[in-house]
Amino acid sequence: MRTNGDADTTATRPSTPEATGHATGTPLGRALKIRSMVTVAGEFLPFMWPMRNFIHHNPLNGFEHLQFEEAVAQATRLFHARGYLRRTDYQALMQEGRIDPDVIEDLVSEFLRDWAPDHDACEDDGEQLDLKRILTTLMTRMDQPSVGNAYPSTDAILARLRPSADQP
Amino acid sequence: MKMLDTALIGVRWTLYDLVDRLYGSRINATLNELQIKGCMDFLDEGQSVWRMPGRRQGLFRAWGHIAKRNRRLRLHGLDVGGILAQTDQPEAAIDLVMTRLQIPERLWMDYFALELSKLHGWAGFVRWRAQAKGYYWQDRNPADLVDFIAIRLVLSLPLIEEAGKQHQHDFRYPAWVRCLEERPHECLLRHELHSGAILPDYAHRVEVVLDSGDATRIKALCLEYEHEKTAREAATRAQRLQELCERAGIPRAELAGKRSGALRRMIEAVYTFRSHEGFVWTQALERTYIRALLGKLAAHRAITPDPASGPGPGEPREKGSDVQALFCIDVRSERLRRQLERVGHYETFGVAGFFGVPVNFIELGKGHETALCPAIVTPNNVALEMPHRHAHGGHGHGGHSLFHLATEVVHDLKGTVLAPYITVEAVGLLFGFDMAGKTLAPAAYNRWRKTLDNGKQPTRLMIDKISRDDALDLIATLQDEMVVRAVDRHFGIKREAITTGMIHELREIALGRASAPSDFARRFDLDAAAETLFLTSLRLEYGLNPDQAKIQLEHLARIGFRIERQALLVGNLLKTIGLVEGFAKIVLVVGHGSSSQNNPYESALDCGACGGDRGLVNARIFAAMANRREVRERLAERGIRIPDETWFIPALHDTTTDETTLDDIEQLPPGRLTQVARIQADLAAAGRLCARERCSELGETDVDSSESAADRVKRNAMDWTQVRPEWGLSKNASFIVAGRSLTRTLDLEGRAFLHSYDHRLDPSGELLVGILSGPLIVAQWINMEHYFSAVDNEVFGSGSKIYHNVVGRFGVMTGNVGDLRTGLPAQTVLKGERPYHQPMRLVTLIEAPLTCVQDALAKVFKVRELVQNGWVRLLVLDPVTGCASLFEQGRWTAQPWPPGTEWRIKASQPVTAPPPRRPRKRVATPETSA
Repeated sequence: MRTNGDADTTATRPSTPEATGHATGTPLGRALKIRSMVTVAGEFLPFMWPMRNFIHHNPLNGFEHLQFEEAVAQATRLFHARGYLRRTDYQALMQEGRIDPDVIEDLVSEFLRDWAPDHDACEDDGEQLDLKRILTTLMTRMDQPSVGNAYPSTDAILARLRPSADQP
Repeated sequence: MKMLDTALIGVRWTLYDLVDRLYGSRINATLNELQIKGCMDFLDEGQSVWRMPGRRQGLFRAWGHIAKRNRRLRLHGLDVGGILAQTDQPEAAIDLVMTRLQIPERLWMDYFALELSKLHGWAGFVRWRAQAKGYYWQDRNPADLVDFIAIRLVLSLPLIEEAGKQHQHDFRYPAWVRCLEERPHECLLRHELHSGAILPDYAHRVEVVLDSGDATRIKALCLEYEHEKTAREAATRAQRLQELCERAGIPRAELAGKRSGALRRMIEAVYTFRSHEGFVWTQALERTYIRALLGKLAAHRAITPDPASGPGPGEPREKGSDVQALFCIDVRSERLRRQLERVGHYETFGVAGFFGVPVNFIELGKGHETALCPAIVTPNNVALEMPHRHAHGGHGHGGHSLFHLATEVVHDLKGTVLAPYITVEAVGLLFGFDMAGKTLAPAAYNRWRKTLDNGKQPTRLMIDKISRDDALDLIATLQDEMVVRAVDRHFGIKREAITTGMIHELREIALGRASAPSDFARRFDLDAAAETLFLTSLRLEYGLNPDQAKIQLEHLARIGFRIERQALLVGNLLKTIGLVEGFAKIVLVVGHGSSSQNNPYESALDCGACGGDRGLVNARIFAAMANRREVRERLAERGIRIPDETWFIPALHDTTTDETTLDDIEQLPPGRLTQVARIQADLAAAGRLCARERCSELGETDVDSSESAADRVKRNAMDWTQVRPEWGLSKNASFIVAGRSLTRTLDLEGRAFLHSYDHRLDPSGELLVGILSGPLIVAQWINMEHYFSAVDNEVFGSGSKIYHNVVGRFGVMTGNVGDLRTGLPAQTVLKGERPYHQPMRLVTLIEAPLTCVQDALAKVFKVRELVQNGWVRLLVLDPVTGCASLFEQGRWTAQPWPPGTEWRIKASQPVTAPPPRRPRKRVATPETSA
């Protein structure tokens, strides 16, 4: 007894490279080249196992050759995804005691230490702002998702910042 | 604002993405819908009533066959017939479309990656399937990514061309490049308009001017728009910065008085920091956890003896422990181990839940193999489940050969109508026949499967090798049985009417070792044609041919483990966890699994080390091996002396109810049953204490005792409307490779994978290499699955279970048409809107000399890569130097441990070669708000 569907045809898929190329007039080398390009292009894709046996895996498995932070940046761009929680979620974890505020201060200092060399203050700049305090405040006390997703250029912001600074 | 960059065409945008973005069309959505429907039809594994015809030809051909006549496609304005008439080869179709769209070949790979990212769930399933060895549906209906992309491209071509006609534009690659270069202002305005980013008060004007097609007016409006938008955005950002500074204690007046240089530096610091903030939070979460963990361990070490001065290898173990128990490293074992140790004299160990026995398992009544081991391992051996009543002799020592048992099974089942299936499946001969049953006679198949399942009898596992002679005899016996069935079915002639000689002769003729006519033909007056037809049927339908016999022989050769191999597997595991002396009289081998109803994700709650299956089979196999006299004799030769009175008992820990059930106890010597009863009572008590902990995590109310907690978790397991029967591995955070003395009695909140390890038993470092390259990898996969499912449940997770529909019997999707959901459901990682899982990279703590860990890392590329690239956080407690060393950003930092001083840099050395540190000095560049 056979049901409809699968058994309708006995034709089998060509399994040899010769068959792949020759039957269509596409040169074998060309067909193989396209096949290999697709294979390499798909390497970033995480496997998706059948649900019957759920296999935990790293969705960014194809990016593990990169540093974690860089991998997250690339993958989230490709998948249009988030790579970290929202700030308010982290702040809630901080309230629960899962994140130590002192650790945040340490990490902000480390960030500024890494960032600063190219951004040394000039004498003409006058008294500097306390960047550590500002960034720590940004992380721990600001509930906006960010200071703004767009960046219209430093000069444009600066132009607005100074004249408006003394307004209420 | 930034103009659209031509370099991003084909790299970040497909050609139809640009049409969608600049002309407001929905080509991508249409394509997704059409492709999903094609995939659902082709990849279906028995869920749909109607099966797509021609699937054996492969995905692209089968789809193409239907697409040529598909009216639904025509309704979408799609005529794919043109391309499909030219070729039925996916590579050629790709070539044709890409060439027709004039996309330069240097971009093809990026373009393919873009196409694959559109439906990464479906593409990921096709990719997995294409490489899965022996996956029935792939063998039967082949599909790969070339097919997948070919379909998408073939569908996209007419959609792009149709859009071109509609808008009277050329939408091929070179035309797009020209468009973006020659008409950048128009493109920018179009993009703003259709992406929804446009300033509302400009929307109408922009629309009117774009419709006019006047380049001068477009440019003028664009410049005005750009200026206005930048000014407004700058004002908003400036206001936000003022608010920020005010909160940081810098009043607006003070800010206004700052020089430009200071303000500029602040602006740049804030905007550069923005792209690193998430990572800084992640590091903060990890660092806080690490400090707390080290603090806990140090406090504990202060009140317990240092293992270096405690019992060494070969000395008596934990005093008073009359039962030892091996648990899976799974974080859910931590609670049970802790509670069990608390209620009685138990010494517990942690090891990957497949207990070092990678095996393909054939369950009684099922004809297919299930790989019970981590997904990174391919098992070579097969274990069979056999009815217990055929196993005379009772307990694990000795036992009958597979041949005898299988022969008994064959004859015992003769009377059943569907005996050939059961018989053959029971002995694992017709690998794949299970699927044939499902395909050819699904209703009947399900009926007998149900009968078999409902009356499931006690079983034992066949783990011994079968000799070649026995294998040949077994195959011959089964072939004879096939002949009897065939004679009955074809001619209605019963067994009593034919002789054994006739059966043998028919078999030999079918196999080509004798020639027709047969006695059988002569006896029942079959003419030559009828006999030939019957023999052909024997060969083709019943598999009585030399090729099939050879395959069967090969399959049989894979069944079981040689005694040497059994001893090796048992010895390796015991050495890995440091249990080589001081065996208790009873050693429990506890696998785990979950139980819930109506839950497609049930297997995500089972044992990851057993390939997402329950761990009982591996526990049973391990215990059976360890109980064998022959195995113990060989282990003794290697210095591992397991006393005769020691008995290994397999068990299953149900992680939903925290009940633990002992298995194979009928094989125990009668004298042990009293002790078993006590163990069962202890396990039940420990389980109830775990249930209470769990209830508070699940937010269950009105649970005032451990008994009521146990009742509540049991109810959750049975309730088919329960979307969160347990939290599973959520909140997993660390992987601790150390002796239990480091963590015993500590409440690690069910967040730690615990792997037992004693570096003093591992002078060569081999055991550590084994732990790093197997269990650690599995734990890292679990950890990362939870991480990304928590941070973006919609993309990397699978959203709410409430909206899930099972598709094709292999996956779920949200609603009726959508991408396959790949990760964990919201109910596993989120509590309401907030994350329940705390996303951090796996903190891997190893108690061993740092040099040993570095040597081990040098031998395992993959783990070294994960450590160097920061996918796992590595922390080493060195008992020799008394230092805790953390690998961070390419270097080790160390502090004395147990601590007495603050963190300080003690040594800086790379794991092997230091990875280049990613510069943080990113200059923020202006970009559009799109």
